[in-house]
Amino acid sequence: MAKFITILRVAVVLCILAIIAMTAYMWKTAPEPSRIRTYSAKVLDLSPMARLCTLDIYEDVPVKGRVGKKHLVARMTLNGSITFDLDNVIPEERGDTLRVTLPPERVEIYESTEPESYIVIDTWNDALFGSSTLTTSQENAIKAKVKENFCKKLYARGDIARARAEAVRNLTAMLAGLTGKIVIVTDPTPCGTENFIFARPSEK
Amino acid sequence: MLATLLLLALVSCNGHDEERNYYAEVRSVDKLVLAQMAVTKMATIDDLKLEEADGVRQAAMAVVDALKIGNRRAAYSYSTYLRAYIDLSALTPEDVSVDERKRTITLTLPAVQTEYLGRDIAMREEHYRVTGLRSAIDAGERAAIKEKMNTALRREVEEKPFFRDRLVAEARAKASAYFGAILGGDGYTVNVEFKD
Repeated sequence: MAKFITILRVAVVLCILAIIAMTAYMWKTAPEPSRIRTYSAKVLDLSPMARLCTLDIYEDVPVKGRVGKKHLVARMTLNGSITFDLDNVIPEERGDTLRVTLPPERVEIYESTEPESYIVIDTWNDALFGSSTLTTSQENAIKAKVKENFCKKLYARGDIARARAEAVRNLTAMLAGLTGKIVIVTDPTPCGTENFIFARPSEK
Repeated sequence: MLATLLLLALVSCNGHDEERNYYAEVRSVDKLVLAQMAVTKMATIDDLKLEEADGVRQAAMAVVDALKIGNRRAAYSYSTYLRAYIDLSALTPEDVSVDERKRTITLTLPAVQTEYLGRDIAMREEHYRVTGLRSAIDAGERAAIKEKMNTALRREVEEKPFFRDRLVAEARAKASAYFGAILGGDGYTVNVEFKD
């Protein structure tokens, strides 16, 4: 009888272990739970254009900002591009010479699509019992400020001037190579136009 | 001994590691951008339903969600931008040939390439309803949603050639029109071809 009880105990323990192992296996192989559901991507806009791009920027920037007593610290990777709209450039032809005026630069700044391009490091509230949760509009306001400051930095450190100088060289080479004429590209604002064109009106 | 430990602690906390994590690259390029596409993606955050749960983990999460008081639903969207361009540095004088007899110019352009320009920095909140005892959706959770949307979008663009095909077709049409206008001034017929 005692032997039978021992066998029964061992069998019960083995059964319990088997159930635990099976549950662990099912847990491990089951799809990861997520409350997020993504939907199919839709083409919102497709625009033809002729824009000369002379500078590509890829930069990690710290995001530090506050709205009232709420603070946000994050890291963002930005993708930027300096382009020149050639559709509005009208070459002035005099004999064998083409004269072109370089248009204002377009400063396009976006968040990178590389993985982990926006990481929130910390959020807090200075008030003792205040909520640290930022609303979407509050977070967007902080990010818009970061974008604006980054754009100013591009002007201050001479990236825009460099992009415009390259544009003069590249446009001269392109037009001269295609037309076989003498091309003179003039730049009325070598350090950049103050009222530059920002990426998208919706993001201003 | 204590002084050495303090010195080591100070050296390890000087913040250099944090600085090293920030990468910057400013690269000169010579591209002619011919078309740009804005692709929008939407995602929702909602409690899991038991009847929709797939597997043990989702079922467990659905049961926990069902016990919580209140609702927690939101919808977010943002746009990602792709562009098509040709690399002008690959254009050589041999790529332009003129037939004076037929009054025809043939221009062979480099292959049209596509790339991601980036995505909106801001997220659009299409809907937000958090009631009862449920926690608000915070910046960290929104960043996770955006990351998931980005991964799904990149996979979708890779799997469906439709996106890039439309962009490249638009870019080729624009290239023909643009270079036709530049070169066709003196009564020449311009043929624009691509190297691919």
